[in-house]
Amino acid sequence: MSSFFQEPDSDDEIPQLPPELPPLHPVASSSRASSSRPSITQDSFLSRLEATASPRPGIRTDHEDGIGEEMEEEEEEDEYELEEGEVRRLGKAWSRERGTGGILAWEGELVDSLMDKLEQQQKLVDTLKSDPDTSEEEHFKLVLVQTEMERVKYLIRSYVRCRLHKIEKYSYHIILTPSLHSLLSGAELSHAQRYTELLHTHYSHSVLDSLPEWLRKMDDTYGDGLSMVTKPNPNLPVLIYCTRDCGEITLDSGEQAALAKGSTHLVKYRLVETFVLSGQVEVL
Amino acid sequence: MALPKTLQPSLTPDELTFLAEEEEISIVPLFSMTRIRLLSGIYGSFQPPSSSKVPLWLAISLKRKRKCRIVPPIWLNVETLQTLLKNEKERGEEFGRLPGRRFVEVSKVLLDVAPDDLAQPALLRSLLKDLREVRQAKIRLGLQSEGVMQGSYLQVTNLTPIELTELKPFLVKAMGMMQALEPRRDEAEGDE
Amino acid sequence: MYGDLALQLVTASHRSTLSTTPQLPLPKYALPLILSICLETRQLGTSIASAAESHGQVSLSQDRALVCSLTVQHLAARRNKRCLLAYLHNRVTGIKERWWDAGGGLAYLLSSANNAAVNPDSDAPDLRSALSPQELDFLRGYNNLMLDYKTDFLDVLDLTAGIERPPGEIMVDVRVVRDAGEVVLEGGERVDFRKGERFRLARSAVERLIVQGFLEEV
Repeated sequence: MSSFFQEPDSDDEIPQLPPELPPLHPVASSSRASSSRPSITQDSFLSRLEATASPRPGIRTDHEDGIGEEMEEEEEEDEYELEEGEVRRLGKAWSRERGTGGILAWEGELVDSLMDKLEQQQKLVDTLKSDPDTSEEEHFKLVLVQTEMERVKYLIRSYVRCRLHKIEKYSYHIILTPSLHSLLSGAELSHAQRYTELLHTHYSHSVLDSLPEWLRKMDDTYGDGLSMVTKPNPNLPVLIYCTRDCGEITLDSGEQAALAKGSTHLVKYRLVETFVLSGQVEVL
Repeated sequence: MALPKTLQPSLTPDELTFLAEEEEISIVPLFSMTRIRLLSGIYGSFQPPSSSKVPLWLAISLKRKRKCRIVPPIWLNVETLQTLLKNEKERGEEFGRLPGRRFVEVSKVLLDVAPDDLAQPALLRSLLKDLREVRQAKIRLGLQSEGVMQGSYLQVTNLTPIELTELKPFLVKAMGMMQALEPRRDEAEGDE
Repeated sequence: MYGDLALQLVTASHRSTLSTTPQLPLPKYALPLILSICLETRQLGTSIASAAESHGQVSLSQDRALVCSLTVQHLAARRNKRCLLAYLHNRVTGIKERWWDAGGGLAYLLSSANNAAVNPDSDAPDLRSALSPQELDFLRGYNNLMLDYKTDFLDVLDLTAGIERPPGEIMVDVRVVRDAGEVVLEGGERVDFRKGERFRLARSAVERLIVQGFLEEV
């Protein structure tokens, strides 16, 4: 029985893990219905998941200005990102998602790729575990493989759930704002839709239907400017670490703040949004 | 909620440690093993007494199974920590630069799991504690200074993620209150 | 005074963290209060409507008192709505917290076994009786939504497994705290969990039972 764990020079016997993802391409990708990575099997997680809009992370479709600028930065960033493993990249995406108030782009390619690999790992683990010829060394390696698998599963779980939380929190807002839709996966968008309906039904049946007709809507704005539709607050401060020099920004007070490489700041999200989306700064 | 309340303010120290565990560290394996291909890379082969680089989580796992010795990072020794501490004390209000952004997490984990691979672990622990306290004191002092809460901006270079995530909820809340007290800005500025 | 009832509702909701702490029992749905507030709001609505009918056009200069009173009624009605929705929303959050905390086990969440775990000594209402029928519907609906969402990932991972603590070693030592009978674990293994016995098993396989209080990590 060929072992998954033999020296790489017996490669032809070893089931290959999917090759590294091709470099991410700028912009146009937001029109893709599904991830463009080479699919190993028709049956993969990828094809079973609903059409996933996987735009280049960080490009928001309602940003008309500065696209040219952004493309240049991405090229630099591609080189930077190629050196980083997928697990680390997901770790950063997770950190970003947890550290910011609004929704960021769904890292479809990354998640799909890791899910596929996990699935394959699991199959191999199951096969080897039940094979009586598996050596002690191989059994030990399986333990290490499984330990890593639990870590990656945990990361994906936490990432997905963090997004779910935000999606449910701002579900109404998301439904009402088409430009946000490309940031979500197909499944997330569908969830946002159905959740909004579920909530609406609940409120209607619980109280709204018992109120006068003119009070039955769900998108009022109150006298103090507060709207019933909760939106993320772009003024919420975020912690950022500058992986490269980002020049200066003007704070609300009028002062300048230098975002030098290696510096860390607590600053209002909307002032540094571009840098967060382009990956020039990391969110803690 | 999909995201439990305890996790909502910011990443927890446990979670930060999880991220720190992706960093690589050297180990000396106490057993032989051929190369292993994991999702995060290919590691090994392990041939004592040669050292090998592996992710921290793997090193910890092996260490717990008594299958390796961990080679401490170059900064994790008494002399370096004493220098860092001295430096921190002499710097007044500024924060000293610590070796690596995951300094706190890595040193804690190594002291917990592999004290026998470190020289004078008790002293190291005490130095790390002192260092932490000096920095905490500076943080408290810094928060009291004028103008910190204004404008919802704070430069926090050289503070580590663990120190920052501890502070963040308080700062966000305080800044939020300051913002509420400020005269209202145009709605347009805040919109997407 | 208009809005007094709504204030009661909101105060109760705001003061207690009971709703949103999953380990504590959810307070009973304040049905009488809600019905009263809805009634008051309908009455306000009727009053406004009939004033509009009988007076037609009103102007601020000529009918000051009337305009004032209509405005107050209108605002009071809107405020009632806001309070009602705030109350409901707060509870919805609490319901979802409990669902996630129970690892998505709906049957378990609504059962009496869970109630015993949550409040062993008091005779506070168990979750099922604390919910209004609409809330129960919501819970079921949410459960279905989440099961659907889970499916996409299920071949590889269980979305409802815990995320509060990053994974440590893959095996975990447990002791049985409450009889769980014979349980079929991931991978087909059958284990008879009897009180007092200890096992060493894969964490992912028994996490659910730990969350539900049958097993205790040693």
